[in-house]
Amino acid sequence: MVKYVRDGAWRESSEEFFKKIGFAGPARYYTRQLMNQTLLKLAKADPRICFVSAEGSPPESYEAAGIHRYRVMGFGIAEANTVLAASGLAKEGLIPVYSTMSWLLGRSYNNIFQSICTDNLNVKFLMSARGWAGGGGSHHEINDIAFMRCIPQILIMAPADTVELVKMITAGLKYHGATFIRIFGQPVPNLFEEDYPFQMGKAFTIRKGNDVTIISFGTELWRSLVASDILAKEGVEARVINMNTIKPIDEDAIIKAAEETGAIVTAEDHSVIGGLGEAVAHVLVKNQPVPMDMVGVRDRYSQSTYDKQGGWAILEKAYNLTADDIVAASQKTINRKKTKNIK
Amino acid sequence: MSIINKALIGDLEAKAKLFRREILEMILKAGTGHPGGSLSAIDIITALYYYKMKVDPKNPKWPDRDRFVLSKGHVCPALYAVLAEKGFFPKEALWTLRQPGSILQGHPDMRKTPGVEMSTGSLGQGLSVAVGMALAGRLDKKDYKVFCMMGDGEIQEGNIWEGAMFAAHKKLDNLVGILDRNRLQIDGSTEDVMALEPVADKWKAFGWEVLELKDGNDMIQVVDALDKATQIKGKPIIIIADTIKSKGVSFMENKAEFHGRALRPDEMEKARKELDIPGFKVS
Ligand SMILES: Cc1ncc(C[n+]2csc(CCOP(=O)(O)OP(=O)(O)O)c2C)c(N)n1
Repeated sequence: MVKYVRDGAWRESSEEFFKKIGFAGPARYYTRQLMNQTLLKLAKADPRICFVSAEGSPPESYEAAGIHRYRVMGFGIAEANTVLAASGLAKEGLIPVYSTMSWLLGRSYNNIFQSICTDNLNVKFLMSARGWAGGGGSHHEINDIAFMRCIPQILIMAPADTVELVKMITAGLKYHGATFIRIFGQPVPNLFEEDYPFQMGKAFTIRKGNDVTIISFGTELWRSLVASDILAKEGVEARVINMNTIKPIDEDAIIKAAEETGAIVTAEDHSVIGGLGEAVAHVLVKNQPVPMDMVGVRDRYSQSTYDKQGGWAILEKAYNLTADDIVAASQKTINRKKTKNIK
Repeated sequence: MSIINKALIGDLEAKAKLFRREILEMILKAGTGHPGGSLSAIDIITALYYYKMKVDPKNPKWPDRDRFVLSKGHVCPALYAVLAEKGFFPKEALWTLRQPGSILQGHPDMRKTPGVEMSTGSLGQGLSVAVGMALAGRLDKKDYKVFCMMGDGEIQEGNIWEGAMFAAHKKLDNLVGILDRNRLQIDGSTEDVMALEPVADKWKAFGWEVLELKDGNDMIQVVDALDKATQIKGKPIIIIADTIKSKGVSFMENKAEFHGRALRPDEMEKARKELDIPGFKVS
């Protein structure tokens, strides 16, 4: 069910690591391919599914694959018009899929808030969070979960690998209502086997442990696993939870983790303001307050880096997103638990 | 410029050629970037900084300077090449484009790069910012001009037309828009993606004085258009500059493919031959 092997291989530099697991080439193209294949399959089976895009149009292969060209609509460089037209399409019963770079969500935020989500219209946002790349601060989306999460009723999910990506898109398109799926833009190792039982709204415990719980999703999940390996060597058994649905969040899993491990760390490739960390904290504060720490970008703009592994690694370090950061946060939280004598 | 100053034009052309080479070398080194729109725009940006605009590289924040907003921020390599040559920062910085910690980000960042007037990168926002700067100039009783360069794909953004309507409403004649009409965007021809024509009529209808620049890669015409633009009174001015995307490297010209990728080493070798500059060095 879970491919993840505990052999310490995770500790290696990501470059070596990716070589080892046989992940060749820029993964985002692979991811996009897989996403398109999945969408095509779904669209063939359901004629209500259609595609809207600002620039970066869906590939011609859609037409080749038998999707009528009227179902593939390009709007030019005009994000506001694109999402508003999607609203109209959804209101008439179609299922528009809007797929672009996640940072562009904010370009049409009020349109989404007002004209799609007020009526929970069935629009699908499949946004790739390119993460740390050449574009720089304007092009790195590290706030999208924050501003989307406060929209009532919206469904927000983020896959941690390509197996989950396919399952999530399939489930997300069947669900009726506004849906935001945040897709990693950087390579991630495959963590799951095909039989991984993905369930919308249900957290998945990927590793058992009772000393601390690391809750994560998307690109940070595998780093959380690396962190749990490092901790294991020090005799600390960390539970690792894949919080693949950020909204509505799996409160039961969080409360249970707090009760059983007494220390929580969240890890996300997103601002610590408004992201997974605050969502988890919200649940803890109301139900089972325990020492907690958040790993994520700390109220900063991002910057450019080389658009490849080595470059990302530099920024992950600069912005405190590495496995070592998760380890340090875990140790700190465990210490607080001990000194506070909680559990 | 009533009598065409041959020496000046020759000098500007030589500079633009150097910048073309630097743009490609920079992007090659960075591994990613946008050559196509940088090469279509470079002649105009060169003429702005070396002929038209009042700026002081020693004092980038000089209150009376003319302002340049690069609304199509992805072509910042063009701006960086010019700013470095002007002396706003050392030339070596060019070879750090897009590297972590560099003063030259993948999209313009006014807090990191001396001489960059405004941070841009999300298309469609620069014109309205330029409108605000022009308004400020009027309020402060300064006679600086604000130049704003837009991509043609970029003006598909509704935001541009909000700015356009306002600028004409307020008769902002200290604002000069420049449309880099290279007819291509990422997905191909602007007319296939989202038709812009008749684009001059659109700006006229919005109340702008339209100057049609037949060849925006021809330095004599560029200089002439900039001169005319700064003499018009009573309304905002837009120069619609017909340009060629990737102008200056024959195999790249008019190809959408070169919108947003670095050249491969073999392509770069070919480009270097066309942009041969004796003694050129990447430091
Ligand atoms: C709001 C926004 N949407 C999308 C993008 C992605 N993007 C970068 S360049 C580009 C095409 C721009 O085309 P054009 O304005 O014609 O520029 P040029 O051809 O001169 O490079 C797009 C869509 C962006 N930077 N900002």
